Amino acid sequence: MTTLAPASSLPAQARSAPRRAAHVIRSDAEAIEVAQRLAEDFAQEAALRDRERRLPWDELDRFSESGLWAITVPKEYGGAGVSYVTLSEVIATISAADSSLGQLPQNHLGVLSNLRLTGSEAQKRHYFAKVLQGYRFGNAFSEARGQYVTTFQTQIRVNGDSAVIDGEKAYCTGALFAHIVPVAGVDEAGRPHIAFVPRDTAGLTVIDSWDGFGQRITASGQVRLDSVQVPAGDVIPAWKAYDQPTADGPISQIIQAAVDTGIARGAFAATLQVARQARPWADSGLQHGWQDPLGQALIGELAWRLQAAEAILRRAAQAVDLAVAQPDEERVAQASVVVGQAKVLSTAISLEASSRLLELGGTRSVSASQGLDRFWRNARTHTLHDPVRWKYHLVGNQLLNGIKPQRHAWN
Amino acid sequence: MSNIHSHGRGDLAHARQVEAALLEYLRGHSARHEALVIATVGEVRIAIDAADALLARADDSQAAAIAFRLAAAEGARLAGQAYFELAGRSLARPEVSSGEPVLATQRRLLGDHYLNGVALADGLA
Repeated sequence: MTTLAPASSLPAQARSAPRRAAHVIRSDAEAIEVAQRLAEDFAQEAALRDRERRLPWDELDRFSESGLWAITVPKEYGGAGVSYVTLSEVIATISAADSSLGQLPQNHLGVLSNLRLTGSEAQKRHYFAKVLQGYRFGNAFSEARGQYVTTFQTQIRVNGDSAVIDGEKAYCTGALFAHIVPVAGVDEAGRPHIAFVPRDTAGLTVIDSWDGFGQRITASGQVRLDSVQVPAGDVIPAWKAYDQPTADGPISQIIQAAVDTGIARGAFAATLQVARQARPWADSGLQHGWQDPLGQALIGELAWRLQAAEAILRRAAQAVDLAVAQPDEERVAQASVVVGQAKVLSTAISLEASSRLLELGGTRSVSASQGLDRFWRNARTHTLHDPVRWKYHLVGNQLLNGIKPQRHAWN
Repeated sequence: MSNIHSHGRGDLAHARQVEAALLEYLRGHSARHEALVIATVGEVRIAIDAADALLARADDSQAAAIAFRLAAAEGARLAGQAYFELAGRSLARPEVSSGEPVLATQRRLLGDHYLNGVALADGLA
């Protein structure tokens, strides 16, 4: 599905400012409570949204107005400054209900981390205040044409008081729904910066071209930047978060692992529902499918693997919290390693649980009307963000050869 | 400490012992720089750390104790497999006492618990 939405004809719902002021969440406990309440709401029509690819404008308004998009704003700037243990649980909770909605704040939260680390005092005051008001950031980071995901061709040229941006971006999750689109680009020295570009800025075109078979309502399409001009004060030196040890990379990655853990939770819960209703196999001699010992064993296997993924996700979040508090080389590397473990386990269980769901539900579970395939489609799609096979390598290289993970947004 | 804990701890200790032997072996060989060898070492460590993370909550419930037991067994299995594959060696795994249900049964009991709400008997402990 390709729908061009040039800046001159923005979708009716698109805005460069929120419609209503957001609630300000004050504590970790409140964040968890709000997430649980919203998850119940989002679960109601998750299958329908996926089937119809109904973009979640209203749901996102409820999400950001709830205050959850601002929970990592530091306390000294008026936010709750929640721990990454709490943030991971919030994202997993929302993702269990609808993983597209769980993914949508991913880059927004990553940008808040980078802003905290590299923004000037004035920039932090300005943008943290906006986020507390309910502003949503999307992202225009990745590029399809670079040799690596870490390389950018997009240029941000600062000339006096203004900066000019030209480039093409891909996989821009959240950009369509954003009030402000953070754009990554390099300066003349090749160093990455992030420019905060209001959604209605001339030359910024968000293209709703995402046709992935999973995470269907994330609208993770393209962004084109044609001589986009912003004040130089709206650009932060993002590269500084990686020039020295910081938790910016692990923060970006742990949100990914939390989304996948949430998908696994949702798939496991759905598995229990369909397995209770499944027919017994003809040769089993059983009256009910739920008595099937072979099926029970498969569910037991899923159960412990899900618990393992959740336990490591929590450890990873604790490691991130430590690295945020004391960002030295050792703690940042350790956070990357444990978050890498969380990525491995959450990837494995999200794929396994979403596949066993259909096996244990039997042929009736593949009825399109139920939409139960969405868990596997979502798991397969979202876990492609970066190749998990290199997370095994990352963990092993630190252990075997003492080589610390490279510092970038994918570690 | 329950039987399940005890056996799980035994398997986890064994997994760590095998991992240490594997690392010692590999550090004397150039294969330590090969991507597949490094990734296999990572896989073993992740399984061991997953079991360790579940051990920390194994006292919470019978279900948590079984989850730890199964994770520890997986850690021991993967460590032994990696040691054999990369070093051509093996270490004897601790014997399981007759008092412990076989792992497949524990897996089924855990599934029955989550699927049907069947309480996990104290007899497992």
